[in-house]
Amino acid sequence: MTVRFIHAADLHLGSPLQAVAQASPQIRSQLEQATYTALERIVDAAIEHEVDFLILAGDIYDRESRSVRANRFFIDQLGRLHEAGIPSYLIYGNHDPLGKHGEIVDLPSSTRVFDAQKVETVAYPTEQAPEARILGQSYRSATDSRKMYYHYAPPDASVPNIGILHTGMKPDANRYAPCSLADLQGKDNMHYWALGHVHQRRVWENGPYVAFPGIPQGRHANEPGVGGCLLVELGTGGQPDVKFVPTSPIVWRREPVPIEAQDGSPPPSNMDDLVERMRETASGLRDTDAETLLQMAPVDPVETDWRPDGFVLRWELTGRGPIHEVIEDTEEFIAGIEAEARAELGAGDPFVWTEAVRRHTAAPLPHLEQAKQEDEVVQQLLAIVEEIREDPQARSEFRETCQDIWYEPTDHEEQRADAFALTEERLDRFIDDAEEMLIDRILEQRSEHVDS
Amino acid sequence: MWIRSIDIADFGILQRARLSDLGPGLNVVCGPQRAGKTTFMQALRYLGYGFPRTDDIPPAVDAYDITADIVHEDEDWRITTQGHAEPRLVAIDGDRELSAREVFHMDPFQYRQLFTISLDELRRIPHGLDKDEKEDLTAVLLGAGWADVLQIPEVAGSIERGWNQNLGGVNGTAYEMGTVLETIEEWESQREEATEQVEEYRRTVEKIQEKDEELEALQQAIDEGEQKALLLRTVEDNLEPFRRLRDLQRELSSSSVDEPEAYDDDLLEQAGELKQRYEEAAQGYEDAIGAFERESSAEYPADQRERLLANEDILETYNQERSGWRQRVDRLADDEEEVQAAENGLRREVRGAFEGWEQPSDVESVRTDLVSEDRIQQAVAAYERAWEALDGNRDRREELESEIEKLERQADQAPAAEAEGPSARAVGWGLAGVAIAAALGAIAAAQYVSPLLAGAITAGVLILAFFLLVPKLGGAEASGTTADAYRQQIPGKRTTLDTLEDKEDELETELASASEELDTIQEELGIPVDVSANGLQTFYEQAAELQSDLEDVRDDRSKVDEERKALTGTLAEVSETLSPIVDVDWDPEAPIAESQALLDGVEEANQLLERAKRVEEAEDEKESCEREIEELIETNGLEATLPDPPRATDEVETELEALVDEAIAIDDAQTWTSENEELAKSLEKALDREQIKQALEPYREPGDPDPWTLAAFERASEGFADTEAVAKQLNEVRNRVSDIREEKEQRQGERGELVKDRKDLATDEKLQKAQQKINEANSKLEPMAERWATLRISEKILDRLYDRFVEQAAGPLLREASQTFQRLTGEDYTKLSPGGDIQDLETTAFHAHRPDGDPHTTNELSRATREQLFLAVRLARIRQLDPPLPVILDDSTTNFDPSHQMRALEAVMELADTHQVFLMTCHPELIDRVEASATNARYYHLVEGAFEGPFQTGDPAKQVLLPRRG
Repeated sequence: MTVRFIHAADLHLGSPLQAVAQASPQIRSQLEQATYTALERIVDAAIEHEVDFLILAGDIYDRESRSVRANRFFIDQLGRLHEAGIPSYLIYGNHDPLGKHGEIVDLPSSTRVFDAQKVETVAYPTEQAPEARILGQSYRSATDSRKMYYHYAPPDASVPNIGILHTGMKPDANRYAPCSLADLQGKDNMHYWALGHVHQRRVWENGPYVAFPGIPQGRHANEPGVGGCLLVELGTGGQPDVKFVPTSPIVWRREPVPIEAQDGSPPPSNMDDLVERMRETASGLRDTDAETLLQMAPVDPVETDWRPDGFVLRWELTGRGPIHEVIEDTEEFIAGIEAEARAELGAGDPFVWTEAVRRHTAAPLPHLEQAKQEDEVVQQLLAIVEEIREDPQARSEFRETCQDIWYEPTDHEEQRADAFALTEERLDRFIDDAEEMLIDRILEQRSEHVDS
Repeated sequence: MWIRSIDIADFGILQRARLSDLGPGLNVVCGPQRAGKTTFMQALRYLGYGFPRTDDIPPAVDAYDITADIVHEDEDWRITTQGHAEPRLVAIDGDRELSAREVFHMDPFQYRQLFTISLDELRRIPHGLDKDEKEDLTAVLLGAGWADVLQIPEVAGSIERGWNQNLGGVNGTAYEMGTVLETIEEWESQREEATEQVEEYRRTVEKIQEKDEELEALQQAIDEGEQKALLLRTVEDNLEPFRRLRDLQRELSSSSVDEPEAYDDDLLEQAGELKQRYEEAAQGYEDAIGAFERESSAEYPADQRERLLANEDILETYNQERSGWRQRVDRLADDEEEVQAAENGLRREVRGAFEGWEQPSDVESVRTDLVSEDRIQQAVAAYERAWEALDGNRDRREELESEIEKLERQADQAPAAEAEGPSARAVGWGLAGVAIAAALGAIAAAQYVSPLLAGAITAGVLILAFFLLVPKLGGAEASGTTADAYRQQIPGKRTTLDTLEDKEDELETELASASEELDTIQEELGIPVDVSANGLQTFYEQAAELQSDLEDVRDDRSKVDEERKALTGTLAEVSETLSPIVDVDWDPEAPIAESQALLDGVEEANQLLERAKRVEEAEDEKESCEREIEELIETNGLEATLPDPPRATDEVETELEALVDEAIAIDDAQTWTSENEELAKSLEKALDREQIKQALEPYREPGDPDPWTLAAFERASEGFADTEAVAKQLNEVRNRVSDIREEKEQRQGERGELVKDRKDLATDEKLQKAQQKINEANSKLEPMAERWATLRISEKILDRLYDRFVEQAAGPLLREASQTFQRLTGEDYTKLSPGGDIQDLETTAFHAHRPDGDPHTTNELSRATREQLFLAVRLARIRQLDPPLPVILDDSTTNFDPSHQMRALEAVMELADTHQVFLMTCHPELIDRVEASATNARYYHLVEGAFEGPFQTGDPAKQVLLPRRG
């Protein structure tokens, strides 16, 4: 006995993409509409693939972006499924815990919302003749710390049992339904864990299939790649047949722009040179076929005619080059290149919109290696940097010193507008940048002393 | 390194000054103020570095020129410093030369600040140093590598400046970041509000629902109020009838009439009417009798009344005939008079008609019955026709004869040839036509009118034709016709004349025949005299008329006689009838003449009859009433009874009174019942409205009769004294309903506003805008935050780097200094450690730890302790530098207290174990103290730029410091 369903999560409906500012009206509309479009495509896929039901594993809305429009849109889409005879099973997550914000419009009768008080088990299509069981529990607060997984207990394995859970899958966390992969895989009679919360697509195939479908539409540079949902053909034995269904009309990407000489080409010396490098990248992106873009997914994609409506890029100027000084000394250089990139690269199908240009550049240091060998201060600096990279106390100290505007995220969904998540990766990046900057400055200072 | 000897050829006040046999340890140079000690110290300060071009050092007379023999790494070297040139260091025993920096391995500042200072400076920061110099001093004090350490804050400073001045080319500043953060904060607040929009929407929807519920509740209150008002209005409208109903029901229950419906509905009316009728009938009866008796002249009016009534029909017939009779009497008289007059008139006519006739009957002698009038008329007509035709023919003949004659004459007179004109022929034919027409007319007239008239007509026509046509002929004459023409006419005319003559004969025969018939008729009629044809007919007609008149008179006379006889009989009969009833003065002998009296009797009798009939009618009415009363009593089973007849009126009236009373009771009961029923129906009908039933429903109870509304109404109306009380409460309820309606309208208005709000809240424009602004600001903030984080981390790394260098550079130093400091402070303090800001020597560079570990920053220490601290640090630093360089100390401004000075000297003397120390002093007691502690010190004195010594003790040197006697 098998069932076919769509597993989606983390719609974050109504959450506009962060690149909306300064976008042209048409692109802005597409960016604002992107999360809605993604949901629409999920529903389209459900209808097209004639699934038995749709599963939504929480965070339908964004806590910061709740709107009546989003509510209504969601209900309308569920209404489409209802009309197509496809029931929906959904739980609410940390962004939309049940009880705090109910739907402002009644859900279709074919939509089943799992309660927040306890794990509920629902038979599909009927209790009398079940073809699958869906178990689920909604959040009752934004930081639900209950170990919900524990209570997911299908009575038997006679039909596919699917557990819907919104979890960070962190066993030691004190929120987001803590659990471990082993906890989930160790549950008896469970065939598929339909998870939500983690915005990257992840699957584990040992034991019961455990899957995060990822966010259907990335909303900022930290949610890059093609978003979508999973089309699952699930039986009681063996591994399910899981395919990735791309839904995101917009694809976020971080694209480096080296300022060094490359492949025989001289290092860029002005803004035009940089824009030219960006243009080459943008052109390459436009020429990239959907298959290549979808290869990034950990799950094979379904046969699809999907192609992105547009790319939103965060350009990162990296490396050491002579233009660094220009970048450093020219007022509004970054703003200028952003404007230039938007003007020069935006148009096309798919469009390539520049979200931002970030600088991680440094001046060329021809004697850097010598300094590293001979200069005690530089040596000490490098030694210290190496030490602190692995020194939790030092890293903690760095976090502390940056805490006014950089916070330590305990969950990827912690987003603040007035501060940024200081991930380990980002901290390493800052340490690297600091190291480069300090070497630059120390050597500058040295030369000044020598000169004086 | 230490200096064996030094020759100062030219440096300030030291000119050719030589100091020799210097020891590697402590060398004390005594000299009064302005003796050249400081100049000597400065000379030593620049010995290994050369003299800078500055005004801060004493000038040379010619050119700086100093030469010193030194021991460096156990080898003797000579160092020569001349002018501003670099010092030269040459081995005394060979041809070797070193850079002075190889010996003086530190920079001049460090050497100056560390090795060539005053004793006072040992204990504190030198006065007059600028910031850089103070930093340099820190480096000097804290040792080797400190330059690198000092670079670190400079790097940090440049980073900080960079942060504040320029952030990655974005021209961002810390201020700008703050502004961006403020923007974010502001838009976060806006976004929060926007997300609250959903809740606001929900709240609005809930409010709308609440409003709906309120409106529903208000509507319910209105409905209830209206229902209550309806109930009260129903009570108000029906309270009186209802109470009347209940009163009726009480009356009925207490009434003696058990079944009022069993009685006639109009019993009382009937009884009343009967009573009234009876009373009227009784009264009418009495009145009728009275009236009759007043008019009756009979001795026994009752008998007379009976007789009258017995002859009622005949009397009424008489009365009806009475006027007819009167007319017959009158007409009879008139007829008699007319007949008489007719007879007289006829007699006169007869007499006038034919002489000899006297009596009307004489006319009967003419036998008009034998000859018909038609015969007479035909005979007369035939006679007249014949006569007239004959007469006419004769005239024509004569006329024709005249014409012929005339023609003959005219022929004779006229020309011989003359044609006959057509006009004559036409005239002739016209005359012929006329003659034929006249003949035909005469025949017709004779046939249908009379022969005389026919003749007259024929003659008339012919005459007329003659006069109309003959002139034509005359005209012809006048036209000058010829004689032949005239003669041609004559034969024709003669032929016509012949015809006329024949005709005349026939007519004469015919006339004779007609005359004969006339004679026959006269004979048959018996007319005694001859009369003309016309007279015959007139006679016949007159006789016939008189005969007819005679017959009429005779008929009239017969009729009058018959009438008289009949009328007389009738009157006799009447008289016979009336006589027993009334007195009649009628003479049968003159029945007609006395008829009036009889007719008056008829009238009188009838008048009495009318009275009698009134009496009878009144009696009948009375009896009828009694019967009806009896019938009413019987029909309704009443208690009242009438006495058996004959009944006295008063007895009947008494019973009638009882009857009426009984009927009143019954009627009351009936009225009540009826009213009760009507009221009940009316109330039931009034209450049988759905809305009213709903209003009454709360008052309904199980077991209520059907319809239940009356019982419910009774409960609902309990407690109200009267309709005014109901009206008052109704008014209150209406006012309340009105208030609620106003409130409802207000709520509806509020709901309308909420609905509008709900529409506005259904958009996410605010949210999108806020999010966009946040993203915009966030996008601007992120690079700044990255830069800021990089800088902060850089600072931290720098701090670590700094600390590491401090530790490396100052760690051993401070450990060394701690021992000295401990000794100097008499173990009041046991340890020195780096303070918060190592560069801030005067305040926080060091921590001085008491034995209990409590640290004190530099500026927290007493002045003396602070001086000891710096001394300890300097001495430790001096010891740390290798190879050791000479230390030149000037105590000219020292301010140690004796005990501290002693301990300081001890420290200096200890230093002299490893370093050549020049102690420049102007204090004899210092020398004493040195002597007390040091065993290997060498003493010199300096007076006016000239050295003397060495002395093994301090005394010789001290002498120059003592006050000169005398």
